[in-house]
Amino acid sequence: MKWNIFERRNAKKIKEHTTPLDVEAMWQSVLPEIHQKKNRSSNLIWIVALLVLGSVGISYFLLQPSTGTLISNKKEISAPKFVESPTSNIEAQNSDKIAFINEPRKQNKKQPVLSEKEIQAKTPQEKLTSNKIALPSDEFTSKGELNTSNIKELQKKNITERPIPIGYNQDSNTAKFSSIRENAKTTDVNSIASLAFLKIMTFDESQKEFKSIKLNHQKISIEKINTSSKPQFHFGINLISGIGFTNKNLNATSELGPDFTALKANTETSLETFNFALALKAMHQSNFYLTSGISYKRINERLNINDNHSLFGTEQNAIIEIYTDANGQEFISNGPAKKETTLALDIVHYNSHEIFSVPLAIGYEFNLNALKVSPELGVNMNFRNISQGRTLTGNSYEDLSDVTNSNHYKTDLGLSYLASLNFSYSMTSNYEIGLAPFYEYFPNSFSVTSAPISEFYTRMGINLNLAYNF
Amino acid sequence: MLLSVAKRYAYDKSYAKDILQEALVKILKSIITYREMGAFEAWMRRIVIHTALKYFDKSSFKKEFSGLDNIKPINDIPSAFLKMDVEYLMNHINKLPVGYNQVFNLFAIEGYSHQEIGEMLNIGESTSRSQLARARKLLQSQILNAQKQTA
Repeated sequence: MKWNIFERRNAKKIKEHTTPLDVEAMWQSVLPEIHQKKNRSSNLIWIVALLVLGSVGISYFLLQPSTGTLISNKKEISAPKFVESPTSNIEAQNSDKIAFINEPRKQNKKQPVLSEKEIQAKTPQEKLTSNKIALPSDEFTSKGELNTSNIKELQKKNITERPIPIGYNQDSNTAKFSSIRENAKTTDVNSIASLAFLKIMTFDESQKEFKSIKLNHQKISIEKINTSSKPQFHFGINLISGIGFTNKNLNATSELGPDFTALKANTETSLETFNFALALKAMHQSNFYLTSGISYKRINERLNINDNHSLFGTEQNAIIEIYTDANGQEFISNGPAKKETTLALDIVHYNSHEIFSVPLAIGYEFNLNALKVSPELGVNMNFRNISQGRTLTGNSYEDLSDVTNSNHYKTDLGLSYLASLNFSYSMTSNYEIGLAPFYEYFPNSFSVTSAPISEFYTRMGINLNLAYNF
Repeated sequence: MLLSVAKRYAYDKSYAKDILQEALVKILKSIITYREMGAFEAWMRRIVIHTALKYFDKSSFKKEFSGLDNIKPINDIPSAFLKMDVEYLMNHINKLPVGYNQVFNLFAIEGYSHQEIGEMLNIGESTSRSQLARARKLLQSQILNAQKQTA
């Protein structure tokens, strides 16, 4: 016999060959794996969590005080306790006298908050009078109570006897104090302490924005005031990452009717959504702004099917026949027999829609000191949708379509509408960090027109923004 | 039946059971998407085969067998070959190196073409052909040696 014929004959025999199998034992090992639910979505949550953590880390880094800029945007400092000294009576009498002094700049040296001893050491008369009084000039324009004329008045009153340092600016010809005002009377020793404390603060000449100083009895607050003339437009880059949840509304479009809608609604559950975006922002001096960029978002869904399935195996020692002989004695015949096993299956599929879009939004920025509040409205041009997973396309579990390789879902979702409210905090003059609750509505169905059911989505969540303004 | 398929690609029964278990999970997870009821058996068989191929692809079983060039293939088989039972033949197929075993099983038993085998194993069509020729020579040699020893 030829080898080829031998091989062909035996191939048939081998193909039909069966090996006995302990079906029960096999099921026991297969069942746990079947019921094991995939949790791919947890990976995505970790990615978002890492991004948030990264942003917080960057924020912390950027918020570290720099030696070059001693005044932060808004800082409240409690006045140190002041022990009444022999000079305090004199100071109380002259407490309404304020002057500028010209002191050598102590650059790149972080100056500590003065201790009680240091304050006392600085208050003696001879030390204070040794300071030079700055001549009021046009460079020192002001609003409020303190201005060129009242500085002159103070000079006339011989305030060199007790100069109270507010700040100094050695190269004043390149910079201007635009708004320096005294909000409270400096009539007690605590306020003197506050004023003494002010001495450690410097103005950064490299900044175009200077601060206003409010003198209170207990606290000194420094506010950011933009003294330079605003450009008509300024720009920024926003890095956005967000997380939220999705809601899906179903609408049967064919004769399949409400039963199918109910089956689909019970089978498919919307899970979390997250998004990343890089956006450019152009802000007009009126505080209206326009933002656009590129965005990626993902909507996760779970499809959960509970169903029974029969599987057939072989039981090696099953009772295959029972017969009774002429004497009435019962005989049992054992042998291999088919065995049906019913398996309750809880099958979970994770589906996703990955959407690439171009957002375009208009907003208005309200400035509340360092905090900015910006309501924003816009549209997303969702030009590419990639759907993956499985979905029901009929009124039974048998009608389950693989959407990855079919055209059940649209690839171009068209426009979606977006609303958000951004709360941002200026960490430095360039960097801002913000949180923005958002709502996005997709007016178009995700499924194609020929699909038996329309699926409309909405997304709600919160975005974390890191912005760089230039 | 499925265990027999798994067994042909595995070295021993424990591997075969692992493969079958993995394949059953796959079958059960995708059973609801299955529509062509007529070829259900073939569909399950395909899943077992793919699982087995993947199983051994993951491990480092792929070894080349040298020293086959001196062995000549036999066209006319000895009459003793006809007395072999299926189990005996399967044992010898199982003793083939993984690469040979896979190609021989896919071509001779399952009836896949060399092009299909090439795609499944990620090898060239010509490689599949040469592997098959070598597998046949080795199988014949193994059986002949075993029968000589028995005699």
